[in-house]
Amino acid sequence: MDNIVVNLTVNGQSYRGETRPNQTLLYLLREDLGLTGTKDGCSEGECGACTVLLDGEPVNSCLVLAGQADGREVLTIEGLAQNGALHPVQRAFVESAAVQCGFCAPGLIMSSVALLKRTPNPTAGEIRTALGGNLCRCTGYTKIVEAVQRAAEELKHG
Amino acid sequence: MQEFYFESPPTLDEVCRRLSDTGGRLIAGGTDVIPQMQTGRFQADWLIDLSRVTELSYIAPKNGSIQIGGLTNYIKLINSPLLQAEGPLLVQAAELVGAVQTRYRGTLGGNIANASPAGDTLPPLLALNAAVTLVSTAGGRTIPLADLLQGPGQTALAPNEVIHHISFDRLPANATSIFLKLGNRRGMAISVVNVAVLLQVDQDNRVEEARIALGAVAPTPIRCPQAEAILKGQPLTETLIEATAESAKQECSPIDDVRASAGYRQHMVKVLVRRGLQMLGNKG
Repeated sequence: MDNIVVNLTVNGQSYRGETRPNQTLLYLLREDLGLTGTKDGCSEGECGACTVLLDGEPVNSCLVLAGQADGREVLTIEGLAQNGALHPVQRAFVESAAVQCGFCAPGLIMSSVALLKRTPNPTAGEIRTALGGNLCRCTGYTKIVEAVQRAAEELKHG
Repeated sequence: MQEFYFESPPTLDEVCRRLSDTGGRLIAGGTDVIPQMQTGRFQADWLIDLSRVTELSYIAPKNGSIQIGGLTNYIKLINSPLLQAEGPLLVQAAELVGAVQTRYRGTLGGNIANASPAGDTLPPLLALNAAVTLVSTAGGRTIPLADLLQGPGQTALAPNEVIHHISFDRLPANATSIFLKLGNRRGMAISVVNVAVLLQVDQDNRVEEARIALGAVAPTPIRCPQAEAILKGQPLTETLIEATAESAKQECSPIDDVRASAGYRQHMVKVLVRRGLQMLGNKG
């Protein structure tokens, strides 16, 4: 199988690389780019630990082939903090005690960032539906919902 | 995952050409193809990516019908004012497929081509009497969805055919519809039973048209012609709804699997058909 060349923008930076056709975006990020914040929880698009934003849309990066990400923009957990300062959603997760082992957190945070962009004032029900593709085995989700509500408040007041 | 050659042609013509030349298979959103490639259930030496053929992502009226391009993803279906007005049961189904991440990638054409007996958009499309238009280097053809779905994971698609669009006739103003899904979770769940009901009731509460489609309870999603016949021309009463739901229960042939037993599925067909009819009856 011939290698393919992909050009994409990751966290605002252009990346060009050669990779195998059966490489997923998840492993392009983790292995070729060293961005290990995005996790592999299930390899089958069920758990959401691999969630990144692809052209602003939350997707399971384990279900995107590297070749399908060619020419597109990817935002990962590493791309959220600006100048060393945590993104409001990251900060809210920390302050709301919504992180225990932390494995689900990057995916949950990316899904939450996407939610708040499209629905700045989500109800608790809307939050739970939006995060339905992200599994957490530690927290029971209550603090996660609180974190998103906290972040929504903060983003509203800028 | 197995090794394969990968191409991402920018036009439909080129996709069709390369599909024929290589004997390869299509990938669009990848939400079924990639997990199945991981387990070896789906195999391909060449993978032809459809995702750049953006002309196939659309929802539009055309000559008294609604057309949906095969590459249209669930988010687009959900957010479409046209589809919310003209095919609410399909929108309701799209809202319940997988989770948000699935819905940004998965496509209507993919749900059809994957042909899961539990595919959530399929009972709504059957209730809408949808037809599917296919294209390839050999030309094009349009066939009813009911004829395209042939068994679990099996369709009448030729290896080099691409689903161009799905179409259904616009519904009359007094048509109401609903989609109900039973799953083991409220999100990211494969349907244990799903039900699509479409009704047209006149001002005397008489049923002009009734369409009932079931999923996950037969080798393919099915319509319930006997249940529909019970309703047609009759006033919509509790007794009639009960008889209709019982008939639907008899018309399906579920199996035991990891998600549920056949008996439970059969029982829940009756519950959901009754519930769907009651909910639509209360709207009118």
